[in-house]
Amino acid sequence: MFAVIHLPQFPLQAALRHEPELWAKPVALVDLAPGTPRVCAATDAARAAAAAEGLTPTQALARCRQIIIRRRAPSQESAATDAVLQCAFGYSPNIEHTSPGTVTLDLRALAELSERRSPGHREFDDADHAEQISALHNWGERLSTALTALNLRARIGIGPTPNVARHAAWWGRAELGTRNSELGIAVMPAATIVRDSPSFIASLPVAALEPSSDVALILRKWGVRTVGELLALGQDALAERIGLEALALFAAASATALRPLNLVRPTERYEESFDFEQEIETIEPLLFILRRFVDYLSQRLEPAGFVVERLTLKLRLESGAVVEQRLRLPQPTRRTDVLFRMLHTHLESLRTDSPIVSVSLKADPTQPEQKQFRLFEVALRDPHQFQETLARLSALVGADRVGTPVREESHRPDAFKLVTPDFEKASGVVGRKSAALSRIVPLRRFRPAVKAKIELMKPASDNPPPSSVRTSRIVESRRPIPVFRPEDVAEMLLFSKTADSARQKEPDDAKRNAKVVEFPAAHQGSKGLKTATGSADAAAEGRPNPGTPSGESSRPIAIQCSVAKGKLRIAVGPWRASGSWWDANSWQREEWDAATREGAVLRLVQRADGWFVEGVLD
Amino acid sequence: MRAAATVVELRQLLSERFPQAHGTKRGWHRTVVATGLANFDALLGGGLPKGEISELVGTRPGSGSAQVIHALLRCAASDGQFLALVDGADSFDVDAVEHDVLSRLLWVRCAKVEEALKAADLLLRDRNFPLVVLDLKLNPLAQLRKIPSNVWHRFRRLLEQNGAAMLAVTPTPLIGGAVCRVRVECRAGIEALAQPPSEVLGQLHFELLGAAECSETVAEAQAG
Repeated sequence: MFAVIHLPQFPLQAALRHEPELWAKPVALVDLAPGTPRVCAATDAARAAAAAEGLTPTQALARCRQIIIRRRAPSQESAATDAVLQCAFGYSPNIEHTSPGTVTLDLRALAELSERRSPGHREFDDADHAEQISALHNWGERLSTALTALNLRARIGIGPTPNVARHAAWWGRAELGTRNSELGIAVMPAATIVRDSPSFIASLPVAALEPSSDVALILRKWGVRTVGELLALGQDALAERIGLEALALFAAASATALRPLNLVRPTERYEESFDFEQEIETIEPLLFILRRFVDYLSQRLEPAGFVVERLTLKLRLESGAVVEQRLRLPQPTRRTDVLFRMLHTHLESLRTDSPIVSVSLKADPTQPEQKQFRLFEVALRDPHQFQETLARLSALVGADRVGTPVREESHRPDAFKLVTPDFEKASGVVGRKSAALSRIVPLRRFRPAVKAKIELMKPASDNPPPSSVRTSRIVESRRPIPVFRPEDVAEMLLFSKTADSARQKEPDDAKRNAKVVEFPAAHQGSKGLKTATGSADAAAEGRPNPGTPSGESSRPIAIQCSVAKGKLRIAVGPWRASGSWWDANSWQREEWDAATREGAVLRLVQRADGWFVEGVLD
Repeated sequence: MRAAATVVELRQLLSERFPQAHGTKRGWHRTVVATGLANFDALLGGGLPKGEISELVGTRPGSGSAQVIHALLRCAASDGQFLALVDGADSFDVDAVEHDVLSRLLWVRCAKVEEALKAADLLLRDRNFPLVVLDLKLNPLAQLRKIPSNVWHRFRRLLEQNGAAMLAVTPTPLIGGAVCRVRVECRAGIEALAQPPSEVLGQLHFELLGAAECSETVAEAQAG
């Protein structure tokens, strides 16, 4: 058996597929390709108003003032062809794109539709026939439902040969529906199934064989109305009178001739497009059409078993510019609510320079993902919802202010960037030990750093320290060329009279585990410095040695800014660092940790542009 | 009989929906989210209650609230969970956290209180995060006092629906509907910068502030 899907008025169906409500109104489709635009298809309401095919748009408007003119769009016809082929491929692996709007399916390989014989019976009986007709009807009903869901008004014909099936699709329901019992066909709601091919073919009008206008006129003068009357004339006798066209007419009227199908595979192109009649400036009409796009794309993907991996939304503006956005789904799906929500969220934050004149939506298909979670793996409950929340958060605070922080390849403090969270690929369960590895006490950062006025005490021998304070600061470096190596603990001793005396007070374990950067006295400058981790290479190159005081330092003793104000109880430092000295982004800084008399511990930074408070211990 | 059955069903429904109003405290804190801080968890009866807002009050600059947030993040990472941090004043210190732990953080850097509240609302509706931290510590007090109380009520309703826990860090007691309100103080000074963070965390002092509801629940949890 073969089946034929026929889409009457295919260009008009393709044009009105996204506006099915217009079928009830007078609509004329105008073909702009030839020189003079002509109406190439019209709805029943338009024909009723005498605005039929062949008129110019002006003539059509003159006959019907309410008529809606639509342009014929090849892109929409292409999308409709893709849709019907993809749908047909879901019902038979052997399909032929016979002509625009006509697809032939070979049903012979389908087990559910193969001829059934009752056990013990060699010949077909009425029960077998009834069973097969029922199976064919069910199959045709499913196919018809799928096409209707795509807003395609299809006629389906089923017959023993492609030719008979084609005639059934074209003429079965429209012309012969009332006389089906005597014509050997079963006209079901979903499809026309031909049981007795010769009777059916004989009952067709001569126009079904598509004769030339001259031959059609001759046959009409002869009084030949049906194919049966034509076949009764005989092939040879007719050929003697009207020529070779008679052979073509008899071939078209054959109820037994089988021809090989020109099999095609539908493309994996899932795209819908629409040209707005008037430019749109608000989101509602766009969402309205996108909702339909998403429904159609989901239905087109379903027979092939695909899901959407990525959506590409393309908006053409009145100015000629094209806004294109690719939206990747966190988890491939064809759930329409998820797809539409993603588009909606994106469009809420979209602003265009000029109105939108056309929209297209393309879905990149992929196979459904199968994933086996590990026993203790924790995943997001709803990745699609999370993606939508991310988009909303980005719209709220800015895309550069939402995400997962990743530290940059730099020694510069607080150098990081935000990336899109990918919790699916996040490190597995972080062990409690490794989670407690950090040796840096967190601060509260001020972004941007708070500008401060700092009063400095000049290093001089006659300026005694305010108190004999021994402190240290743990510094953890993150990069291969560190200020201090990762395992280093820099112990700084301030305001002590000599390094030797300080060393005598060091606990033994501290001596073993710590590398000591000693400042014998603040006023002695760099001559008395000993560093365990200073970079000899850097010194040799003559560039600043990070972490090594290069000159006399002035100790902050008072601060005035929006964060703190007054005398400092203690200031520890400086820690110097620099980087990117080889390019324009070079930086150099000197850090101090200071405690105010109120107890706040501040991170002070001196840069080229002054003093700043970068953070507070909290 | 039918009317009586309807009333019973209605009471049961209301009891399930508003357990606090019906005095059925035992068991309505279904589970808690551990913070990884032993003394904090002990004070809360195991951790932050799910489905509720907890408030952490750090009155002065060095009160240790940032240490608590980092500890929460580490604890979530060690449990294989994710944490959403709504940073009201963009003050989170990235340098003090390892990459593995950072990969389990969603950080929303806000500039204003309004942004932070909207972001928190979105995250609570998302239902993907078991713990949402709303850090308002550095936001101006004048702005914080303008937050309408219905915001917190809405957050509570969302939390009840999705079963997540929320910790709001504030500079002063602010949230009327918080089931737990804890004040944190840190005794460490500048010398804390020389100590491992674990030692600094040990110096945090937590004090439960007037939340009778929470106290009873905690007492019940501790008793049994």
